[in-house]
Amino acid sequence: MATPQITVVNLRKQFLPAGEEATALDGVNLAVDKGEYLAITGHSGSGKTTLLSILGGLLRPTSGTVSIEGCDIFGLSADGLARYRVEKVGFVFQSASLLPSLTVKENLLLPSLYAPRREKGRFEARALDYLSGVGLLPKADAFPGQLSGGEARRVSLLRALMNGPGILLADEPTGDLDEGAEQQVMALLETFHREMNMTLILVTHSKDIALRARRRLTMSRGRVLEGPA
Amino acid sequence: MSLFMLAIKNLMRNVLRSAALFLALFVLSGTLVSISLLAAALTQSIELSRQRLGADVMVVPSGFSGTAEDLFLVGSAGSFTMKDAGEFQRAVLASEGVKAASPQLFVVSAPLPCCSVSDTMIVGYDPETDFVITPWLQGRRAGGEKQAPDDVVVGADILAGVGGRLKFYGHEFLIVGKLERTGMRYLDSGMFIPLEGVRTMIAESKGRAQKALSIGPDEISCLLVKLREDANAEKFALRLEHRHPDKKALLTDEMVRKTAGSLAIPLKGMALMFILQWAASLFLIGVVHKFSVDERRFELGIMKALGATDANIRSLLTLEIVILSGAACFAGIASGLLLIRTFSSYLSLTVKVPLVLPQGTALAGLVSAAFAVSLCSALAPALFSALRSSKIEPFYLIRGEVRRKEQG
Repeated sequence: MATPQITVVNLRKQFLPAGEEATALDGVNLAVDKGEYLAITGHSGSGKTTLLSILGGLLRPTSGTVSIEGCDIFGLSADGLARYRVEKVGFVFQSASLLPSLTVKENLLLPSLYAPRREKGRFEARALDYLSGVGLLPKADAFPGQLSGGEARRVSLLRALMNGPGILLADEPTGDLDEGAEQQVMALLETFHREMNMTLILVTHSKDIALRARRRLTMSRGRVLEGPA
Repeated sequence: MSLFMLAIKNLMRNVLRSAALFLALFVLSGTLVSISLLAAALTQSIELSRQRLGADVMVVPSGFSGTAEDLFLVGSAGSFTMKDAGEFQRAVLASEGVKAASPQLFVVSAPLPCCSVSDTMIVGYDPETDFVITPWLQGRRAGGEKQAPDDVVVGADILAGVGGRLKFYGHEFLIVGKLERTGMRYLDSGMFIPLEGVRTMIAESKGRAQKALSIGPDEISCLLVKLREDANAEKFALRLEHRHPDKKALLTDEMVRKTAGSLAIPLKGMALMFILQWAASLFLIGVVHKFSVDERRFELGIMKALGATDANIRSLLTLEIVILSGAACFAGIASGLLLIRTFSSYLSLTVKVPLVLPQGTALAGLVSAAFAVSLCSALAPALFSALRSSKIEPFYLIRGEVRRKEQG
């Protein structure tokens, strides 16, 4: 039996807002194989975003472990964790999260600044190739303010893929988009998942979107209620 | 895409914020370099003025000490005389501790057609005994040739060149030399003619000039005295004034120090103003930078999520402030230098203190120190904000929250 790519053991996260204890994650266990397509659903405050943020190395848990390909990522130094974020994982945020002072192309090249082995030419070629693939090449020099919501979200997705991550984490990637734009973004996500054999974990409120995934989990009050479908 | 380009784009995004920081640092560095230059010029002028004037004591007619001080220190044109020059010079030379004594006669050119230039100091001096003018003669004259009575040596500020002719009170003089620049208007803007030539000019003025000069053949304006190293200038001055009550012996050191001292209070006031301004600038820079970094938390969080390390974030924020403050300090210091250089003559005349601005290495050192102090003033509060923000986890930065306490 192959070792899971992601192993989460007894993960807990507690916040203390204004002196009042709040448990965001309460003993989450999870295993995800390489190349899996997993959807996590649940009500607001159920702990979905916190779990995804911890998997992405954006937030340290209170206790428990997260192992990626056998490595406990929270046993790493701050720099090691940053290297994990740049090399292993891509993160798509709830909003487009593009830097307004940079053009579309420059936003795509931003991760190259932090990649350990920078090959400017390779990143530039990849950025233009990706933009061409989604029909946004004419907007390469446009600023985020000049893009539609769907366009901005697709650029954000492409940016998460620039370093060729093995895991793609998407937090409500179509949250505020109309149906047409939602379909475009989902199609793009799934195409990359398929073609690059990338593990795709997405958090969504939408049951329709969750149904597209091969495996689904529901979270409530910081716990995973259902096992693999 | 490079870190430098990213920093530039970030600075250009919020022009108002960048302009506020630029202005604060521009004024800070400009003020710092201006005050430092003035203070250095003032301190330096005491020693340099003494050296450049060459004399330890200047004997002038009693009642003209103020006019003489203005004349020597800031080059204000003025004329006064005392009689029995020859006898007095001999008496001084015979005094204890005197190494050399040289007479000078001051005449101010008239705003009339008989003079090529008006309101300029014509200094009659004795080339045989002189120790003030000759050391500043550019390249010296070929073969040490003696200056003829109708020859004039001009100060560095006089536009006319060697070979040109100048007319004073109807008498024509040939320009035979130019003095090196000294930084003192008395030397830089004067016309230096042998006493013999000036006396001829005075005698002929009755027939040749629109205005006749009434200075007797045995009158001089001052006697410059150089003392032996072991002599006490103050004692010499007291003895001389006792023996010659109609004369005033001005001590070069005291004269320069007294006028420089009169500027000490305004200069201290300026220094206090600068300290207050410095503190206000530090506060302003700190506040603006804190708000700026807080406003950009989401953006910094995205960068960290994309793989930026704490050091990458610190480098970016530091680079931004280095670029902005570097440019502001450079512009401020350049403006301060330009301002002081442009108005130093005016300032010198207004406050009646010679201002010899630092040159070469001294100037470079002063400018470097002002640049370093200004830059550090900007960097210190900015680095604090950068350090604080760089350590926050991306999750909190993206959500725009202050890091919350965690249990466990």
